[in-house]
Amino acid sequence: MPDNVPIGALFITIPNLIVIACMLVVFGIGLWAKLPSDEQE
Amino acid sequence: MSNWTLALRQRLQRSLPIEHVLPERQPAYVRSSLYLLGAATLASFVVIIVSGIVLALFGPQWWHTSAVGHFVNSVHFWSVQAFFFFMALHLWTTFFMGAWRDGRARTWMTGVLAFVVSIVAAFTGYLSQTNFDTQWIAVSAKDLTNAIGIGRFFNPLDFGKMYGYHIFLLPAAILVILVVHVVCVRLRGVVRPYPARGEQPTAYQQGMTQAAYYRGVRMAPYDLVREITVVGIVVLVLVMLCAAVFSSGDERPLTLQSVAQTDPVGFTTVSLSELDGSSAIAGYGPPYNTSTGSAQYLGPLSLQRLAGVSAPLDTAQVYVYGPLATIQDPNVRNAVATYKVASAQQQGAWTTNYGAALAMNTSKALDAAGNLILPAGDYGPLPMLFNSLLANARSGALDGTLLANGAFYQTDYTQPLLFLSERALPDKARSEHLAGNQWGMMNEPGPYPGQAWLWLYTLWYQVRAAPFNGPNADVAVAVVIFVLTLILLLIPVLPGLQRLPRSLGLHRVIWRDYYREMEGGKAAEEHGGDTETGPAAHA
Repeated sequence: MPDNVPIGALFITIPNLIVIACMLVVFGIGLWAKLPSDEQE
Repeated sequence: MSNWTLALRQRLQRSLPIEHVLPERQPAYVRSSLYLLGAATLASFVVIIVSGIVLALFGPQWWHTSAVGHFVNSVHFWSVQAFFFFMALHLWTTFFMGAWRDGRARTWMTGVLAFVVSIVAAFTGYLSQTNFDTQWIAVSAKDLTNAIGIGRFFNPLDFGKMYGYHIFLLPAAILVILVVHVVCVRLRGVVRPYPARGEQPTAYQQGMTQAAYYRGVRMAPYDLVREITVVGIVVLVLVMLCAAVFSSGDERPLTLQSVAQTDPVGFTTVSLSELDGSSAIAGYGPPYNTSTGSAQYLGPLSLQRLAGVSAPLDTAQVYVYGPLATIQDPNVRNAVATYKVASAQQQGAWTTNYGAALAMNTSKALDAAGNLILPAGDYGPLPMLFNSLLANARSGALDGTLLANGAFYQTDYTQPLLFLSERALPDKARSEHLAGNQWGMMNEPGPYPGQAWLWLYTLWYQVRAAPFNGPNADVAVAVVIFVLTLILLLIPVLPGLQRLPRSLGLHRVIWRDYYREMEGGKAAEEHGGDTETGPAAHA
């Protein structure tokens, strides 16, 4: 694949961008969300 | 020890007691949902395996032609997306935790190894779809495998071989690695948070028990089996929903027949270049021929040339003379003979004239006999040769001829795909945003996510600077990816990098409750009956 272009012309498809955005969101939620605790049992 | 069985049993009992395999208590900080990401990855892997088994049982025709087959194919596709989604998040999380600390380097390394082998497994999966995406990924990837000298052994154009790797060897390898990884996790337990301010944790020592390791850490009830079950159900539902709502791409592959029918001039132009040796493949170099057009170098070393011409391909013979020899027409035989006995100068004049006429012909129309409509000129026997070849291709016969290898079964698509890679595949790929300078193989035709996990690989092809923009781009990218992978694998032992997560500070957010407790001073009292610390106390 020798036909390269400058970084400025990068192109990621919308579906891939959505996946990456979802990862960031899930990671962000994961940072804050806690699992239910059984400590009261 | 004379009894090997007894020795093995005692060793297993000693190193992996059942209470570590199925713990019912864990450090309280494991309540963070980030600790579910590993289980979600494993759950996705199970869905991949089950849907993959169904696909293998029914075969490619089934998933291309039946609605149920396409749905199972979609489940397989989305479970792979889920697998990498959760695996990447798990990788990020464990990185920010510095999870390789305290004797857990092996856990980290097996995780990285699982990630790398999974990328190869997914790659061979894309090569097993048997659709247009497969064709394009195969012809793109062959440049890399050829450049590093493994093109003959690992030939992406041989779909039979790729299918074998994909449905058995690589999944088996991943399974083994994941089992070792999970055993490592259970054997050592989760890593302790970086010490809180003022905390003086017991220093980790080789061979330390989990009880000793977690001393001072608040433990809490934990249900591993329930967690895995719930996560598994959630992942399964997510994957099924995505498959049902979004489906998956399955664009029909190009064939020589379809190309000859839709673009007869383009087909003939490529055929002419195969005859006169001016095509990209004729000038490619190893493993197909001794040319040097696409031979790549790492400094003075060319692994591609060292590997030699292991899959020789004479383009004139394979794409023109060979197929024409299957046509039982004396006029065609005479035309071939006329061309072959002509002087090189005469052949050159004919091909130049014919090529110029083709270049001026922008019409796809054929005459009533199915021949190309070209202005009168001195083309020698070439119109007879190429009109016969075109008719042969339009009938579908050429697809069969180029696959035939003398054996009953054929799975190696090297010859037809190399022909299509000259023009038809790149043209279509560009229109589908799949070209090398459009993040190439990372994308998927249609409105579907592609192999986003290849971003670090495809990134380098976008750089307009040596060595990534030039004749040795594939070798350069291979070397960079190898080095980066090695760094990722060896983070636990690399000075500086191994301490990076602590400097980044994200662990303070991940384990914020732990730090609040440890640094708050009175946390133990606030938790009343839950002040029990360390498994030793529990035991």
